[in-house]
Amino acid sequence: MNHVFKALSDPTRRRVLQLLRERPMQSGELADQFPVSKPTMSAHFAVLQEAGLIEAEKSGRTILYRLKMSVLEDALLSFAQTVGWEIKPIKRKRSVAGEA
Amino acid sequence: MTSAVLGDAVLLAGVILVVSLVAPLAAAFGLADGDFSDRAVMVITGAFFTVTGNALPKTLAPLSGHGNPAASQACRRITGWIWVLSGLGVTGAALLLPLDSAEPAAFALMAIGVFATLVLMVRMRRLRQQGA
Repeated sequence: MNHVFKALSDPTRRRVLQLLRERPMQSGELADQFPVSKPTMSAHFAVLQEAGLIEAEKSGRTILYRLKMSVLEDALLSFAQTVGWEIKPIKRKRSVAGEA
Repeated sequence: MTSAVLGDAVLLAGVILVVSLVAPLAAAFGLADGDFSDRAVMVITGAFFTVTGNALPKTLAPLSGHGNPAASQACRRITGWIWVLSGLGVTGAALLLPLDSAEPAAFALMAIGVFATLVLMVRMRRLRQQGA
């Protein structure tokens, strides 16, 4: 479930899921909707796949993504979208040698 | 079907059978009243609907076999939601309503869920035929 929360914590990934709610889409078609580089989008797709929220199917030279969300995950997505849920990385203090 | 999915299905079926058998037996031996056994069976039925409906949109068919993948996906999502809401309704009715009202309410909710699923299946079949 941790993977699901992590996947839903990012607005870009939530937008990807919302687009896939309408219909299965090709990776390029999805990437064109966002002002980020393709490697960044690939990383987002990997996180969503790891969480089991989407599934990729190869069709010739293209990859087709589609939704693979349970009803609970679907409800969590709607909730996260409504409250603007975002998990920010914890800032860790750098320990400087000799400081202690 | 993966072994994990099969294992979950067998476990759920086992729980339903055990509760359905143990609850009336407990009532017969005076360990619980008749209401308890009826309510327990309704709760487990509601849980079955909820668990099955929740997992339904996760079961995917190969895209190549579908004329209209968007419609197929939408049907699975809607059916899943209908089953989950019906299941929660049945469980809620079993736990909160008086038994006289709980039984017809639970039956009505399950009938609505099954009817809505049948309507969606017919619609899906038509869309698939149109896409083929």
